[in-house]
Amino acid sequence: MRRTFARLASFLFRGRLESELAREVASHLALLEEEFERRGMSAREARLAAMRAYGGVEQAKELHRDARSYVWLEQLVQDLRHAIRGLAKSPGFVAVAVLSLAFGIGVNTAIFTLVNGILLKKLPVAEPERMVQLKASVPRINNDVSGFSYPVFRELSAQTALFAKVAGFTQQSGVLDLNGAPHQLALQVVTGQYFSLFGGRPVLGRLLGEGDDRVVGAPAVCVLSYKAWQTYLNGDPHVLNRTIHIDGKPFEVVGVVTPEFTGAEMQEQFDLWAPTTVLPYRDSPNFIWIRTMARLAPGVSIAQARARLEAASAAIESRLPKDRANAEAVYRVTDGSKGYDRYRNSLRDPLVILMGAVTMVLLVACANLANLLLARAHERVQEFAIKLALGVSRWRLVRQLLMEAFLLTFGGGVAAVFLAYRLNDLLLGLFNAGNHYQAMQVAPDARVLLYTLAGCFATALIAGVYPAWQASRADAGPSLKNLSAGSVRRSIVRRGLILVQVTLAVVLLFGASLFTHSLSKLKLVNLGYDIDRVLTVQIGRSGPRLDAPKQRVSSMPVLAAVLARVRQLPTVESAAFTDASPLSGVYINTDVSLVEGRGERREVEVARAMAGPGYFSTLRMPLLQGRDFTATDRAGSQTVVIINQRLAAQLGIEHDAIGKHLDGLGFDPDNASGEQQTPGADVGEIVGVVGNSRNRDVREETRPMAFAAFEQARVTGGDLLIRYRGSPGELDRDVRRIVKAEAPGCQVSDSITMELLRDNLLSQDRLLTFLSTLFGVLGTVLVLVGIYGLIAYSVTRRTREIGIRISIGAQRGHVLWLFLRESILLLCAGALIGTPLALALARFIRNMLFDLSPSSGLDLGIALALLAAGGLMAALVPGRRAMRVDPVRALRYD
Amino acid sequence: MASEQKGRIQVLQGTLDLIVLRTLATMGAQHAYAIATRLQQVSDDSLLLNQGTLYPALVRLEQQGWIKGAWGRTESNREAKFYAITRAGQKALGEETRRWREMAGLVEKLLMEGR
Repeated sequence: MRRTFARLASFLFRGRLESELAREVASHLALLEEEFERRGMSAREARLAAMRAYGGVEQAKELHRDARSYVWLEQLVQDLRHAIRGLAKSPGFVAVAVLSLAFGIGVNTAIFTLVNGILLKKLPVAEPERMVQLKASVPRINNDVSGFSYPVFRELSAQTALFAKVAGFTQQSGVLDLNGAPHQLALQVVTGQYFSLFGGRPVLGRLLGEGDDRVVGAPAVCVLSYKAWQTYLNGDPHVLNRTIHIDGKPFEVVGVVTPEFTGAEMQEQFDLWAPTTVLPYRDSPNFIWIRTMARLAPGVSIAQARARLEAASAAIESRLPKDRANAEAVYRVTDGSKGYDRYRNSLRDPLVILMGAVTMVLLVACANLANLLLARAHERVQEFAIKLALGVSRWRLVRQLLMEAFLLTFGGGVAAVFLAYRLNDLLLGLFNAGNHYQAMQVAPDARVLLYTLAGCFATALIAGVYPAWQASRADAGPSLKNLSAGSVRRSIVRRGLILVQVTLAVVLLFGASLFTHSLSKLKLVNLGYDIDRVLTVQIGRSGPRLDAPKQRVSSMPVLAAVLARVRQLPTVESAAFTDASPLSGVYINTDVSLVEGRGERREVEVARAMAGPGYFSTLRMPLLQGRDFTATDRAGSQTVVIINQRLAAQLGIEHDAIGKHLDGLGFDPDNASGEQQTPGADVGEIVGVVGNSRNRDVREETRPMAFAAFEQARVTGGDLLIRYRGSPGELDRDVRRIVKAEAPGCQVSDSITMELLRDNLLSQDRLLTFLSTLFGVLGTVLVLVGIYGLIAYSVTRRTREIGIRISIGAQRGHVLWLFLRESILLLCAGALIGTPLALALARFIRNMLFDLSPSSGLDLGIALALLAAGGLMAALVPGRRAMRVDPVRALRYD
Repeated sequence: MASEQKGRIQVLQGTLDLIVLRTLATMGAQHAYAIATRLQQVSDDSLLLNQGTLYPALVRLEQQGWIKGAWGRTESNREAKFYAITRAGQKALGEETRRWREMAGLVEKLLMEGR
C-alpha cells in the first residue's frame, strides 16, 4: 500500500528523481574509478574498469525506474506525448477525424439523453421498483386507460392490503395574476399522499397532506416549486401565508418544495401544486381525470398486487354507480419505477428507431476513422519499418497507434458532449414548439456522460485496432517498394469500409425520405376546414374550473358583446364562437339516435361541438343543406342542430335530414360535468348538413359529428375563432383589449393560431423528420468524405502510373473514368446491399408513417439518387485532378 | 562474460533487500558503492552482482520507509548518497531475518529428505 503511493508519487515527480538518479550513478562511478586508480590503473583504464564493474548504466537506470515507479504508466505518458506529436504534424487529418467523430458521437449522446430521460431513468425515491402505476381495462376502449374518476380513486386507495401509499394527480394550466401582470403556470392538482409518495421535502413551510385534501370548496392552499418561488416571487422569505390569485381564485401559499423534486413525471416541470379540493367536479363519477400511482405494501410483490387487484375489480365495481363513464372496468397494476408513463408510451418506438439510426451514423463515422487511419498508416509505413528495425516491439507500436485513435476519439467525444447539449435544447424546442406551458424537460446526466465515454472507447477500438495491427506488420524490406501484398489487402479493406458506409447511408437516407414525405402528407391533409390565418382565442371566466356548476351564470351577453366588437376590427374577416376549437384536444363524444327512426332506435357515436353563427363560414366548411345557426337560435327557442354528411349517411337521411330530430345530444353543458340530465332536454331539430371534417386529430378518419347552437347553451366561456388579415400578434393584442373592456370577470387564457395547433399535433412527426433528415445528411456527408478520401489517395499514389498512361497516349477522359469507375462500382454495390436492408428495416416505422407505404419506390429512388449524385461529385473532384496530371512532372516524381 | 560468471551465486529474488538491510544495520550509514564493496568482500567475490543492480533494492527499501537516503561527503571528499537504516527498518530486519531462517530451515529439511 505504502509502496503503491510511493510509486505513484515517483511517477508524478519523475523529473526530479531522474536527475537525482543520474547524480547518484555518477558519484558511484567516480568512487569506483578512484578505487581502480588507487590500484594503479591509468585514468582511462580506471574509467573503463569502473563501467565494467558497474554494469550497463542505462540498464541499471531502467531497473531503478522499474522499481521506483510503474513502467507501464511511464510508457503510457511517453506514448501519449508521442501520439500528440504525431497528430500535431497533420492538422488536416485531425480536423476531419475529430469533426466526423464529434458528429457521430454527438448525435448518439443527444438521442441517448432522450432515451435515458424518458425510457431508462428511475424515480428518485427509495426502492423505485416498488412503485406502480394503476390502470383500467374498460370494455369499450381498446387500450388500457390511465385516468380514473375520483370515486374510483377512492376505492383504489382503500386497497391498503396491496398499497402502502396511493397518490392521484392531474395537470392543469392556470394564469397567475401578479399585480395585474398575467403569467401562464403549469400546475398539478394532487391528492393528500402525493408528496410523501414521491419523497418531497419543503425548503420553506410545509407540503400538502391529507388534511388539505378533504372537502371540495374548502379554502385553497398551494405549494410552490422552487423555481416559481424564485421567478415569480423573487424568493420572498415571507411568502408563507401569502395569498396569490390563480385564474382569479385565491390560494394561500403554505410551502415551497426543494428544487430537485420531480413528482410523478420526471419529464415535466410544474410551478405549483394544489389539493384536488379546488376542482368543483372532483367527486363526480363521470369526470375522468385522476392519474394514479402507488407504492406496494411491504411484502407484496408486483405480480401478487396485479392478481389481487384484478380479482378485487368486481367488488370495486359493485360499490360504484353502474351508469357512470368507464364502468365495468378491470383494474391493473403496472410498473411505475420510472414514473407516470405518458411520454414513455408514445415515444418508446420512435426513440428505439432513432437509437438505431444514430448507431448507424456512428458506425459510418467509425468506418471513416478506420479508413483515415489506414491511409495514414500506409503513408508512414517506412517510419514503422525503421522503428521496428531499431527494436521497438510490435506491441509497443500497436499501443502507440491505438493511442492516436484514442486521442482522436476523445477529442471528438469532448466536442460531441458540447454538441449534444446544443442538440438537446434544439430537439426539446422542436418537440415543445407552441406548447408553451407543458414542456417536456430532459437533460443529460452522469449516465449519459458515461455512455458517451463508453461510446468513445468502443469507437477507438473498432476503428483503431485493425489499422494499428496492420501498421505493426510493416516490414523493412517490402515497405521500401511501393507495391506489397499488404497494400493490396489494405485497399480491399478500405473499399469494404466504404461499401459498409454506402449501405448504411442508403438506409438512413431512405428513412429520412419516408419521414419527410409522411410529414408533408400530414401537412396537406384535407381537414375539411381551412386553418390558414385563423386565430383561436380561449376566453374563460376568471376561475371557470373553480366554480361549482350550480352557481354558474351564463357569460353569453358579455361574450356576444366581445364578438360584436371583434367583428368590427379592420383586420378581422369573420369570427365565431365554439366551445372548443378543432384540433385543441378537447372533444366530447356522445351517442345520438334519430327520433323519427323506424322500429328500434339505432345509436350512433358522434363527436359533439358547439358552434355560433358564422362558425362554418369562418372555418370555410361547406354548408350542403339547410341553414347556418342564426342569432335567433338562442336560449329558450327551439333547440337546433347541424350534422355532418357522415352522420346523415349513418342515420340514412342523406337527402331529407332537414326537419328531423336527434336525441341524446348531451347539449346541456351541465351534463358534461356529470350532473343528472333532464330527459328530453337535449333533443334538437336538424336545420343543416355540413361537409365532413377531422376535428380531433390530423390522422383520424372523418367521423360523424353533430353541432349544437353555441348560444343555446349556458356557457361561461369559449373559444373565439377569428379569420384574420395581417399579423396574429396585433390581433391578439386587440382581442385582449376588447375582452378586458367588454367582459369584466372574463379573461383570455390562451391564444394560438390553428396552424400552430395542427403543428402541435404533429410534434412527434416533426421531431422524427428533423432527426432522420439530420442523420441522413450526416451519414451521407461522412460517406462522401470517405469516397473522396479513397479516390484522392489513390490518385496521389498512382500519379506516376497516370503520367505513363498519358504519355503513351491515353485519353484524359479514360483517366477520369479509371477513378470514377471505382466510385460507381462502390455506389452500385452499396445500393444493391442497402436497398433490401432499407426495405426490411422500414417495416419497423410503418406505424409512424401517414398514408405512405414503407416500401415507397419514390422515396427509395430519392435516397439512391441523392447518394449517387453525391458519390459522383465526391469522386469527380479528385478524378479531375488525375485528368490534369502533367506527364513530364509525374515521371520526375520519386 | 559467461565463463567469468561460472561458480558465482545469483542473488535470489527478494534476498538482496535483506542483505542490504543487514549490511546497513551492521555498518551504519553507507553509500551504494560501499555497500557493493562490502557485499563482495563478505562473499569473497562469490556473489554475482553488477553494482548497478543494487539500485532497485535501495529504491524498494526507501519506498517502504526501512532506509533513508541523504546526500553527504565521502572520506575523499566526493559527494555520495548515504543510506541509513530507520527504526522501522530495524524492526523489519528482525522480522525478515526470522522469516528467512524459517524458510531456509524448511528448504534444508526438504532437501535432506530427498536424499
